[in-house]
Amino acid sequence: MTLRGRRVWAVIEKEWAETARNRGIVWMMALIPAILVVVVLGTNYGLVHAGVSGQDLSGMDISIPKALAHLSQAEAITVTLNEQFFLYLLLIPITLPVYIAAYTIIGEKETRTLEPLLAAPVSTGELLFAKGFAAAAPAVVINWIAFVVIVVGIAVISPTAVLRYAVRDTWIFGMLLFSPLLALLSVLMGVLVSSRVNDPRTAQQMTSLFVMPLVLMSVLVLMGKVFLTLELVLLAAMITLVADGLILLLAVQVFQRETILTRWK
Amino acid sequence: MPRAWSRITEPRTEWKAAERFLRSSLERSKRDHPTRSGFVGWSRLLRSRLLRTKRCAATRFVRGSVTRLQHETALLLRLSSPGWYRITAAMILAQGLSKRFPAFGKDSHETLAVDSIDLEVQPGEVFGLLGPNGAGKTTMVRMLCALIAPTAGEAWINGFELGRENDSIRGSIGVLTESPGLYRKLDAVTNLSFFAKLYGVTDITGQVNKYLQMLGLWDSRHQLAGGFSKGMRQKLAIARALLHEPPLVFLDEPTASLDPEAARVVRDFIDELRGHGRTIVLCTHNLDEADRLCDRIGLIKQRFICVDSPRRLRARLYGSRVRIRLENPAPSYLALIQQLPFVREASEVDRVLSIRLEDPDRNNPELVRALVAAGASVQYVEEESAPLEAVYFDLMAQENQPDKKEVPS
Repeated sequence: MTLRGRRVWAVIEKEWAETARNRGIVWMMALIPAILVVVVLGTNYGLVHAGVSGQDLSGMDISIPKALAHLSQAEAITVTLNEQFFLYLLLIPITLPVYIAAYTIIGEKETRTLEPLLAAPVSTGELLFAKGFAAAAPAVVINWIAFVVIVVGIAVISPTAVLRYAVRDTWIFGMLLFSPLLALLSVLMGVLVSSRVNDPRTAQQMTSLFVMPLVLMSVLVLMGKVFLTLELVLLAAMITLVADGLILLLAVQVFQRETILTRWK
Repeated sequence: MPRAWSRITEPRTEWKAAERFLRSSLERSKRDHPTRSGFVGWSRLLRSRLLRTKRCAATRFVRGSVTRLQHETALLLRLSSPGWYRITAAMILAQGLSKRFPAFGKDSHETLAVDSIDLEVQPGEVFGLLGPNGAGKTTMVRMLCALIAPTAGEAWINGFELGRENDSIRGSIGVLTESPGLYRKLDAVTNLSFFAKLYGVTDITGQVNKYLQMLGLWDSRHQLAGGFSKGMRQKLAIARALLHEPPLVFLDEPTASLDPEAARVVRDFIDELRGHGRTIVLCTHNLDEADRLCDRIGLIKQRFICVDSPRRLRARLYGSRVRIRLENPAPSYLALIQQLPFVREASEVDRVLSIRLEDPDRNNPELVRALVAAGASVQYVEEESAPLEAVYFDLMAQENQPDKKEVPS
């Protein structure tokens, strides 16, 4: 399967131009990271003040990993909560874009633009990859911006020990590598589902199921059962990369131009 | 040719020799068959075949196979054969093209949408596909546009083989689909630029501006397509189909649901395209439009009922008739005409003679001479033609009868 850059980029540009016209989606994509930024920085501010004023935080029912035993109580709680917040941040690009992706093929069919598009010399692989990338990229970029704002905020508000954990390589690689690959995986699954079912609601509901394993992973981190390390993130990124390729190939295989054109009404 | 090949020993030399051979073949073809588009199609096909063969030959050379020259020679002989020339000279060549849709769900059954269609459309021809709803027109167009795969038969579009070179087919044709299918939230320029990029147009701005101006959409170029009237949308969709200057254009009901004024603009534009030598396949329900625009029409109802020019179809069904108006009608003139050997039938109504002839082009001068010699004052002579609508309904009625009559040919 070869992807010709010019055609892929043309589809991406078109998708973005359409998304930009739909302000609601853009605001929705920015809203959740914005809320998270406020929550993270508010929490950090509150805990730093509590630590400075010597309040006893042992009443907070938070399981602190052993790796943070050397930190003060307030710092350890802050880092633990930040880890969880970052995990949420990591997962944000797999939620909203997936709804855009789930609508991508069905949307073209509904607006009757699919036939001229399929009549153009663009391969299925190019079309699906471009649509997946176009859906994932804005959410990933918004996420990166949110991450940078949070890190800068923590640098201003929190002690250096907390900042060190925020900018550790696990999160840098997680945000720069794992998050985009994860986002791409989820949108490709959305595109895959979108090309197999002819009802947008069904597509969105089915796509939501794919997020479940990632929710499970976040629960394990929240329970303190898993502490994310660089090795774990890189391993997950590699697995996701392979999964991205496989899902793209699978999506191309199951994308039936003929059925979509002749059977979907 | 085999003797020339036998001297080839080393791959690079081999391919230089092959290219020299092909070039000379093409020159010969150009001289013998001066149709430019046919030559271009053939040369493109040869080039693609040559590249493919190059790869195969390199592999075989590495393996040390001694049979490579036989393969290449056989290939070149096949390429030089009249059959291959026919494939590449025709803009569309379809043989036994069929499409059967499988049953979909419990209540449906297998559908034969298109049944064994043979079609040859020459460069520069406007070919009309006429037929009732569900006759297979859109399925036929979708197959020829490489959008859906035929279940049987084979076809070559602009020299590219359907099924094997679908991407090349899609790149070399323009399609106006049944519905304009525009991105309603994008403006006219963005809609066109997007497709120009997909089709690999080099001068995107130039081409977009050219067609916006040509179709009278220049002033609305920054308006969202969603705000366009039906006629404007259709014009924009036609512009999209032509942006990459395809030699072959498929127009699926281009004037459907347009008001008479917009329909006229679109029809005039199609007529203009014909003037530019493009091959056009036009699906329409508008018989008057088909009559005016098409060089040939194919009446389709799963299979072709008949394919011919509108004029010849009329002649086949109703014969060739002329009407002669006389200043001084008399019964003797009718009697005189009826005695002429080439007159099949003649009658007179209200000073006008209606005469069925064998071949009006040849017989008319003789007919007029005979009348004038007998003292008749001829006011005018005109061809008497049945509307295409009558031809269409008669042929369809014949098709629907259980004991079908053959269309006279």
